[in-house]
Amino acid sequence: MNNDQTENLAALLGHLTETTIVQIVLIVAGTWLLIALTQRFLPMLAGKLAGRNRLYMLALVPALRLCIITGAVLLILQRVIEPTLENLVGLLGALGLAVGFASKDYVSSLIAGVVASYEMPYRPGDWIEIDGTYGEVQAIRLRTVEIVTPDDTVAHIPHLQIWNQTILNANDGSQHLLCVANFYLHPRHNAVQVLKLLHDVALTSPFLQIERPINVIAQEKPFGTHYCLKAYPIDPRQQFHFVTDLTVRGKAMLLQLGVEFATTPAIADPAS
Amino acid sequence: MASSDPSDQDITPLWQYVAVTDYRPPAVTVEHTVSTGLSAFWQHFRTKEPPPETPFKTEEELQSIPGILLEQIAPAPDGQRAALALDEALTAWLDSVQMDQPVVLVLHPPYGMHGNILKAWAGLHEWRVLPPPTIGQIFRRETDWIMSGPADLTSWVLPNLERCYLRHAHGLTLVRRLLDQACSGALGRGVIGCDSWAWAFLRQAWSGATPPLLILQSFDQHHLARWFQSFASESGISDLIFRQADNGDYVLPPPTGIQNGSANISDFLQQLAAYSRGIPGIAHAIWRASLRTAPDESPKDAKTAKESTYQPTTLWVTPWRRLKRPAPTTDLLRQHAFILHALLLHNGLPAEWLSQLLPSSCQPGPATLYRLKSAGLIKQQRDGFWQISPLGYPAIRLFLKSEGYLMDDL
Repeated sequence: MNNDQTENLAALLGHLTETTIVQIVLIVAGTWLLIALTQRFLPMLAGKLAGRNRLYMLALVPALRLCIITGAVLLILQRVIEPTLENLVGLLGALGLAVGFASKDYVSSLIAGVVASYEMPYRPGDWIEIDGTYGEVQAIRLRTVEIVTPDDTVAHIPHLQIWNQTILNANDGSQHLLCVANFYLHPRHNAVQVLKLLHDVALTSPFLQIERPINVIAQEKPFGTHYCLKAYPIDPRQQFHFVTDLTVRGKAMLLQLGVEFATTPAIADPAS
Repeated sequence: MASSDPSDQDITPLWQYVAVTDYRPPAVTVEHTVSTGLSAFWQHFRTKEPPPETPFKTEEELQSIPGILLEQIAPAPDGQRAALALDEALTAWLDSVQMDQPVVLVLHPPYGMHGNILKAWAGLHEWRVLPPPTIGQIFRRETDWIMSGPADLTSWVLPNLERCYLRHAHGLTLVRRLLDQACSGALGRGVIGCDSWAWAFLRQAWSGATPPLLILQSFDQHHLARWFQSFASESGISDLIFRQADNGDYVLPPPTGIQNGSANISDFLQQLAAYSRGIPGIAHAIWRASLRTAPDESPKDAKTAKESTYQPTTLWVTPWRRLKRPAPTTDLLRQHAFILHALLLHNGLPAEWLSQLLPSSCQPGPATLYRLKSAGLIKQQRDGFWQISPLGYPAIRLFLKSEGYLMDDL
């Protein structure tokens, strides 16, 4: 900090007196007290309400806290800084810089939202995965994309993720979403018979989008044979029911065929 | 569909088998769509209420036609005439001595009456009619089922291929084997009838080359008029006139000399043809449901009519917009889409087997089936099979199409 800046700061804060300092301390203490009270009593009050009113009351807590802090800051500034034009310009400049840093990501998300609207990495109805969160796109807002996970949890993901995250889109604006059911079988079996059977399991599923291909992939693994049954459901929203149906019926048919399933060998008990 | 020019309608045969590519379901004409649309649009700008319509016959004045009389006026078709049309379409195939096409497949939409038609055709040529396997035989994959009959299997008719499979992992082996054998000529010459929905599924499940396909051409309004008129002519009831109940328009052309100058020809049959997609069985069911009679105008047989003063008998047809058709909610259809689709793919199933084909999450309990029945979407046949109702079929087809389910090509 050079000499000029030091002098400016000294001039800005030069009129601070002991009384002012006491007032500031009281304001800070009052603010803390008010915040503590709202955080304690509003949730208690909300607990006595039901339904939507309870949620409104709980939402008041952070809003009130923001109002209290804003009021306190204004009261303190009024006492600390002499309200001249130069002081106000300097203050607003510093404030603008702070807000700019704080809202960098916000603005970035807004711009990414505009980019997403024409690049279309996701659309409403798409099943996407961003940074490990998988779900159906419900809405694309200005700043965020809103997805609902299979556990019925709504996730708001900022658009700025498109700058540096991989966006996995399972159906990419279409009704075609590939589902995979896995079967792990004991290696001693007739693979051709199993391939045909699993194909028919998919073909006879009411969930199947029949005009899309059905594929059965077999891979030999150290513990047995791994079969991937790949097919498309009629509606992407049925993907979990579809995989369940393939698994349940596939398992039943394989058991009827007399095929054994692969099992992890038991770990030897070191004590024995 | 045959030519839409009414003057050509007498030339075009009523029953006609064509290649699938030539099948044309009837469409509502552009003229009709535009005039209906303009009329509805004009209603928005009317400042005065139109004078109240005085219907020729109110609903209270009319009653349902007794069952016996209905059987005379609109009897269940026996398939004989369609069998003759099929015979004509098969002439070249029958005359050929080559065995490169040992099998012909005759497709029919739901309520296309193919069972009766093929049995009647088999009767014309004294070909053996093969009964379908039992559901137990299908599940047990008894592929020698077809050989269980008499050994001299050289010329045969299988009227219902849709009864030879189930959409189940164990329900396809038998039909695949049957089609392989039939199309290779190992079973001699045969004519196979199949429901169009079942064939849409089977062609995905069976990888053989498709045999020659024939289909009964759809009925447009002119065909329907001739067909219904033929029933009326053969009913033994003296001059029957079919008029629309609300405005008196003639639904079927009246006998010569009877037409009242002020009455027009109704568009009921045009609506019926478009709604039923030209499927005779469905149009016939709706036609029967639409007929009403006035108690004081009971039909007379021809002998009585001659003795008394000549007086034509009028039957009243419920106007199209007042005809009760199933109007299921999208929720109901979506909730039970698998049941409806399975019934269509098999052309009906008994409840216990239906539950074998559906996932555990949408098992059709008795309450579900009776709910669909009360909505007019399905019906139970005498043999216990549940089937899509003829009046519900158009709405169900439209819904399944919009949801992306497997459809027939018709």
